[in-house]
Amino acid sequence: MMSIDPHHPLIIDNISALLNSTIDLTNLLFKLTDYDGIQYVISGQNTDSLCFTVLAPQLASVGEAGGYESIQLNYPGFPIAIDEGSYSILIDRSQLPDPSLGEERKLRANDIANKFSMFRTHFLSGPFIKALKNVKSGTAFQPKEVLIRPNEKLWVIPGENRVNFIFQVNFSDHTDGSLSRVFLQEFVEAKRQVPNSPVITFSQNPPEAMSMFKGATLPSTIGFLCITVLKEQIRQEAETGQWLAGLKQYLTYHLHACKTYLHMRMRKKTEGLLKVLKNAVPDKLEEKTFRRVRAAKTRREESKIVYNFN
Amino acid sequence: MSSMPVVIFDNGSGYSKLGFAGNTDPNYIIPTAISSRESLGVPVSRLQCEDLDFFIGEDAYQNQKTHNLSFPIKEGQINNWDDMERFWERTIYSLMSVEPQEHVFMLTEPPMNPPENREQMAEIMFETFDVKGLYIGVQAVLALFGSNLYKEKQNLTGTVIDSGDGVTHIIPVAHGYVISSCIKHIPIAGKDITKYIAKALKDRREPIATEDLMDAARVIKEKNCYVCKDMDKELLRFNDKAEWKNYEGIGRTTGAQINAKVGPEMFLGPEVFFSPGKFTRDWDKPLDECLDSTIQGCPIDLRRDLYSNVVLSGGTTLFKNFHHRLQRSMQQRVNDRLARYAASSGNTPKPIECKINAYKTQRYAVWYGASMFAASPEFSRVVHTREEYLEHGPSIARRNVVFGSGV
Repeated sequence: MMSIDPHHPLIIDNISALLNSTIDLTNLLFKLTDYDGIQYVISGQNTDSLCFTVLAPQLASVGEAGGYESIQLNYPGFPIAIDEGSYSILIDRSQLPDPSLGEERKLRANDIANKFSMFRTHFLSGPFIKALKNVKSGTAFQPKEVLIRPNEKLWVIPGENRVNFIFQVNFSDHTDGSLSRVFLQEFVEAKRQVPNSPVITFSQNPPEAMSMFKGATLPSTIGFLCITVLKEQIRQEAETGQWLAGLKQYLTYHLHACKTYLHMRMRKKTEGLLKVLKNAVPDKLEEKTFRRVRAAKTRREESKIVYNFN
Repeated sequence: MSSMPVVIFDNGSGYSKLGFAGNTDPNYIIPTAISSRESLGVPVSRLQCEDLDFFIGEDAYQNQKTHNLSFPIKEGQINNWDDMERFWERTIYSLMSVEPQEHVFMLTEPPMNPPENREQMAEIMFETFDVKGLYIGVQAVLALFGSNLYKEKQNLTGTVIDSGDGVTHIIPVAHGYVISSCIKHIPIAGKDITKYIAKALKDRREPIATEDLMDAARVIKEKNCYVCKDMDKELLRFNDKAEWKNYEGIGRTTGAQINAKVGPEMFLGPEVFFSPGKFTRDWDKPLDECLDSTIQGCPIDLRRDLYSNVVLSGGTTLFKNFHHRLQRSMQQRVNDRLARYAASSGNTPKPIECKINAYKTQRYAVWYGASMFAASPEFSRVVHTREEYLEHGPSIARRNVVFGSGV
């Protein structure tokens, strides 16, 4: 598994089970969590409709930068309600094909469940897709500061036929921070191996491009990752957006996998060293000889006794 | 972010129960199996990320053609930390889909788990996954917490019979503390019953391929097995072929349909608990005798409570009529002893009531108890936080405060 699946498996399970069943949904309520500090609350509104509510601290910021548009594009036909700090989508079970059309209903329900399992990816990729589309069509837009995660910011800065995405990289753990620095340097190096890849720079100080935001107070961070996408490189905005939105998870996942790998090697090494230590203990020669002599002696005596009896 | 729910992992030797606290059912119940490329030690090349080429749960079984299948937990204790670390990594990222830095985790351990294991668990959780907090609960105590009796009486005294796939324990618990000197270990568990059924099927030459035999036996054990009242009578019943059941399955590697007959092994399998002498040479004490002697070994003022609150936990206690049979034979045993006492001393003692509790959540009683506990307000007081770990190191995990004491 090289990258994390953008689908949330629990949402698929729960929503498809609820939509395929005929139980009364009125008193239903359960909570789920996702990456990036997003929480989902799935609650029943009446017998046949479900309310899919999203709670996140960065909701408004991402939404205004393009998240809401992306949701409207990806979830056509579902009524949406925006509240302060929450975002709700209504799913109406009675809109599904009749239960007599068993297979068709199931397919449609699974389709909806699959769609909602991608909610985080759809929502967070909004700002990226919007910027990429603008660059492609040549529309000018203002540089933006987006709070993409509870403690991390993203700056979208337009340039000539290009757009810069500057990620603020933050890790609460020191080890993670140091490892991530090494990882992100590798990102920069990737240009040599992958043809036509976007320009990536990683620096401890804020890059030149975001000079207009210098006045704003910047919290202490590991560094800034700047990905520059040129107009010619933009082909599939939605796909590129999804990858960019999942960047932090990709990074964390690989950091943790890397630590696991290092631990495995450490354990292996310790085992080897212990073996060496065990081998280094000298044999207790004297005792051995003594035992051998004594054993031989007793055997001889025993045989004598047996001999005497016979 | 304190509102993020606690993630509970109950890793047993057979199945792992995973889910968020506050729910009544675990989100996943998957086999604790991992299949990876390398047989021993570490993968060789680092260029292609070979260390990520592994599968867990059902997928591990599916991919055993190309990968090596292994089970990181043996008899309830973790014996391969490499595999376990990777198992956790995959469960966190692809099954639960959570960011470990933002959640408190709860793990479970068997009774008599050495403190070193606990430290290792804490080390992996805090160092690799940077979890926000950790609590390691003792399975027996959690099972007791999840039982109905705790809700009624708020008393954590009782005997837990924890029988999973790898091991069976009888654990007396007094006021939330395990009486570790009285724990009884029985070397009969789910796996032995599966093996017995597989052997019976093989001896009768049912048309099942060797590689599917264990799977078939496992399915039969989970679906058809039950506990009978009288073994000899039940055996006679099976002379009639109409009583036999059918097993239908699909070969894992061939994909072909399997049709087989299931006979007396349906009740002979679970019978191993009640008359083990007939089935295995390792053990000859029936379960009720073990339970009785365990309770007799405990402090005298606790015994009545221990008799009246026996909690079953684990998948192997799920056989139909298991608790009825156990309750009947236990009561018989206790009554006999009281009668003997009355005859020898002339006093009539107060009768002792034996009560074996069976309830809906028995299969994942430990998980359910953990879920109840993690959702309770006491939990935030006992959990080890990341700050504590950074301050004191893994030794904080040695001691996990028992909740509910003095309630």
